[in-house]
Amino acid sequence: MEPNKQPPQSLPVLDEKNLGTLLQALGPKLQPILHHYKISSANYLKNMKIALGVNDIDEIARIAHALKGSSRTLSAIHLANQCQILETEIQNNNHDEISGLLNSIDTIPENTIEELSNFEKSTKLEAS
Amino acid sequence: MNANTKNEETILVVDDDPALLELHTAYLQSAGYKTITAESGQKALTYFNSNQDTISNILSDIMMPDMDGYELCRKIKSTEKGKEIPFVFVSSLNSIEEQLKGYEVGGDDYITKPIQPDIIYKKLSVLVNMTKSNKNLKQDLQESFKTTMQAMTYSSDLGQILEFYKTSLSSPNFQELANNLFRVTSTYGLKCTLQIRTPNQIVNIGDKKQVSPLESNVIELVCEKDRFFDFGTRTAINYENFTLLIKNMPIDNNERYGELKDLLSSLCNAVESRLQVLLYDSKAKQKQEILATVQQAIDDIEGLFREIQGESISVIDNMKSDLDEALMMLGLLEYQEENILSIAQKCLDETNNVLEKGNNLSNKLEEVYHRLGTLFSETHEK
Repeated sequence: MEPNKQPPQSLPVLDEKNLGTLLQALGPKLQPILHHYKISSANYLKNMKIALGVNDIDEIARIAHALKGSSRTLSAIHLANQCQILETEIQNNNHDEISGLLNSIDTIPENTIEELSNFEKSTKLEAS
Repeated sequence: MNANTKNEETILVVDDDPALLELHTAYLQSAGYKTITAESGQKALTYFNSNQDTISNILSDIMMPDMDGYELCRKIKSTEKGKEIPFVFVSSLNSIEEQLKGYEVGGDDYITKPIQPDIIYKKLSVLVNMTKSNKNLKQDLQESFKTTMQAMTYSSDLGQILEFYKTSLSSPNFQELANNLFRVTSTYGLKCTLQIRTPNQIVNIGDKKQVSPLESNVIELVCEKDRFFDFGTRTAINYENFTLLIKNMPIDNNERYGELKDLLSSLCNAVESRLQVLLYDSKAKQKQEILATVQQAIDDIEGLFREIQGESISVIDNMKSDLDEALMMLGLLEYQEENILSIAQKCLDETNNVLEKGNNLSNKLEEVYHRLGTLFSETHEK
């Protein structure tokens, strides 16, 4: 992982406390949910880039909102926050910032997926 | 669509994000709810339209492509069944404006992402209980309304019978009695034919039209059956002097059918009473007519007899006078005249005896008349 793609120290990729709560509530059922999230977050990012290619700002906003919701729910707080920033910039019509923001969150899903996989391993969810 | 079937309460979960759809479903299943999932507003609406009775709650995301949660809620709440089903929005749109919008389209609650399991359980539990209470209240209300309507209907039905009792007392003939009866049965929505049987005739009266020969035959066939005889949608109510044929009994509505049977029973009792009076009056009238005819015949006979008697006396008187003249002309001896006069007197006396017997005959006829009168009045009183 390149240093410039690491999240700031003050902002971890995952909210592990919340993730622990989810694990406690759902047990092994959490694993397929995380699996779905890993796939869908990658898809969201891909679709956002496509929307940027055709300058479909509304679609970018919609996807950013959706990715923010699932990320926050599943404890991927860094990605959720970046999506929040993207949504706000779109609402404020700072469309010039969109491309840069998208680039900045480009690798965040990868980090998130990696962290989630580590979480699964540490909690033996992957094996179940 | 995916259905899980473990509990009585079924919740339709709508979200276009597969991870959140699965997460919400997992939460609900952990709490023992049955779940149905839909990946879009349109799919949820399609499922709802075909399975309204199986859904007890709807948990929906707001921002979805094609049809958002607000539109889904508005469409579901515009249906009669949808009004009774709690609709809960799940969204990260947590501003007052968004929540007001949810309220405006008919939403019942609003849960902000990220969902906390405890919150969703509590909120759903409250809504499920609220729905159950509303259902019970609605059922109670419907039951009360039904009972009230039944009481009012029955009271009105009884009122009709009382009115019939009053009017039937003054019905002077079968037709009037039938008309009064049909006025009541028509208020019950019944189509009827009345067949009245007297010793001399069978009278068929329809409420709307002439009674066909076949219908008349059918009534004659069933009139010996039980008091209430059902065949198809028809019911024959048989009494001694009449049969009331109902042609459209509500056989599919047991409650109304039972009520009508009770009401018709009361009604027919009144008809039978009035018919007995009418038939009794009719017999009495016939007897009076017979008595009058007999009296007339006796009077005629007596008059004829008096006429014959008068003529006979006149003939005898003439004969006596002619005899006296003849005797004077004939110049007979005294004993000869006495002999002839004696024969004539004997003939006169015998004729008087015969006429006297005629008087006895007249007395006997008068006696017959009085005895007939007494006999008729005795049977009349019975």
